[in-house]
Amino acid sequence: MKPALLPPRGLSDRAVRNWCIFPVLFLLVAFNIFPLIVSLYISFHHYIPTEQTPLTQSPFVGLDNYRKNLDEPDTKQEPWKTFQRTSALVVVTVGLQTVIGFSLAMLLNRKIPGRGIFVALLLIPMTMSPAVVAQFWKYMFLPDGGIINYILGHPYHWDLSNPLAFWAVVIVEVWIWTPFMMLLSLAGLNSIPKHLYEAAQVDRASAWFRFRRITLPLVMPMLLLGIVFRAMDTFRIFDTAYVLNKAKIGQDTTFVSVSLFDKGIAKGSENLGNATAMAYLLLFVAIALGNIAVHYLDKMRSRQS
Amino acid sequence: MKESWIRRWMWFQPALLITLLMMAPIIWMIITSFKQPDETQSLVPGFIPDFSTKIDEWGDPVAPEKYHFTATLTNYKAILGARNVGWYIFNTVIISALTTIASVFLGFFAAYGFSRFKIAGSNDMQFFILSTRMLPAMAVSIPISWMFRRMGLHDTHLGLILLYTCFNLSFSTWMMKAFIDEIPKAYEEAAMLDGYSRMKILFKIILPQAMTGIIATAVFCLIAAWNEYAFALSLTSETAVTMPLNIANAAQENTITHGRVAAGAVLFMLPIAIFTLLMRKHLLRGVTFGAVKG
Repeated sequence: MKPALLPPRGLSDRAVRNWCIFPVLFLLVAFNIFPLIVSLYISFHHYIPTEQTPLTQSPFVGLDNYRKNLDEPDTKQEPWKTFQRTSALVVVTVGLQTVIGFSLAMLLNRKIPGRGIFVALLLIPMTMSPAVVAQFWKYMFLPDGGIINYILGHPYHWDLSNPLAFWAVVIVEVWIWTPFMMLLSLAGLNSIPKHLYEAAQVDRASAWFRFRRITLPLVMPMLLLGIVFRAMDTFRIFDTAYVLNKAKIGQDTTFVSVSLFDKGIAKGSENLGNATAMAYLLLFVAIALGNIAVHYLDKMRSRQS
Repeated sequence: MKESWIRRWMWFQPALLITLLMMAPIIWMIITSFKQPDETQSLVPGFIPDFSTKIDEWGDPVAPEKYHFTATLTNYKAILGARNVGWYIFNTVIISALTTIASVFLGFFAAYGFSRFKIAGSNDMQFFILSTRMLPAMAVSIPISWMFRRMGLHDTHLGLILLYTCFNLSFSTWMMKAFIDEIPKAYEEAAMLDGYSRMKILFKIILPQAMTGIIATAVFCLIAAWNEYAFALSLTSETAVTMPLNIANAAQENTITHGRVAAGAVLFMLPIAIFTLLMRKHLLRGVTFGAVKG
């Protein structure tokens, strides 16, 4: 017989805590901080990867790369427009993904026949490689012979600088990632204790009241987590946008990562320093937005408990 | 509260409709994967497969009727008959399996640590973990490939596994922390009174309670590693090449390869789709906390 009320046996709490978090922190520091330092270094230099000049010997240009990105008269404030465009995409796609994904989760949270099969089928778009999926959507969007225009009965143009090009990216992104929001919402809905609804039933609370006061607040942490991750991933969207529409600077689908690629990597002759400077600016914006989101997430959590 | 079967079938219909709508591109993809190049380009789409080419009285093949097409396995043969394809599939399987195990394992412990212990600067550390996901791959791929060459990790399985694990850790830690936060502390306190050690609590109480979250996280990590393209492109050249590169290569030539892209996508999707299908019970199982919550 063990006597009760002994201090926990085995490793001390302190040791457990350290073993829990330090491996992760170590890996992330090694694989993120170091590349960040190198790219910070590159962003202050005029470095062209395809030329044979090694990085250590490329000329130091100070803040020139940053200045070029922020106000270059001949690109007509293009970097700001790129930011705006990317933000618009984040708001539209993540908004649609959340609304559709959450509604689907509400629907599938009911005891309908074969819901396991429905969920598994609905998850398929998310399980596919975005680059390959976008390639196939491009085929479906073809002006002549594409299935979408065949159904719509009009040869719309979904690429280049047509206004529909932006919406083509929205459609594909929503199609791929709505399942992600659906799955997170389902997980959130599953974790709501049933007795809360039973209590509400006893109190004769309306359906709207139950949704507003029980469902929504309890799903919110999961939903917000999904929104934060989707927003961050959409902010650096590359694969789908680039495959759908090999955009040049100034088009409706030139999002931040696409323009980074265009500036620094695609045309090998251009300056990688310029692209990394742009990446740093992007990182600042992303961190600021992330901070705001996490702040809300924390507030939501503390209000709940 | 039991719903009548009429109500259940009433909600079945919209679910079926939406599922069919979301599945339409996949169905079209499967149809396309059986088409010859010229049929993928016809102005009237073919939906219905003919399994043999009809021949007229002079022995010439007859063009299929409207909305019909001649089904062929050429695309699948081309994908599966490509050089080294077995090795690439092996690479993808081994890299994504080990990545998933590593990121779920490490993420689970970190999530427990952040959820249950008071740690100085805990919020900052968590935000750092989250922020590792914000940097565009474009910006880190060049320093990382430089670093990998120096460390001898270029074009190795270990290199890709390490990198993908790092990429997934931010998500797996945050996701599992959200699930572990939901588990009432009272369970652990009760177990501690019974003389359980921390490790025993972790495996006997937290692990089973957080299983839904762990499976969901594992599915996401597996998907991310299975499909990763950008880093694989810059960090592999021969030994550690994965399937996404191989499929994307099928599309790069200027010939008409819609059918082949579709076949590659369908083949590549199957294992993960089956895995998700098998895991659906776990993904849906309710996390049943008792009345202790709060």
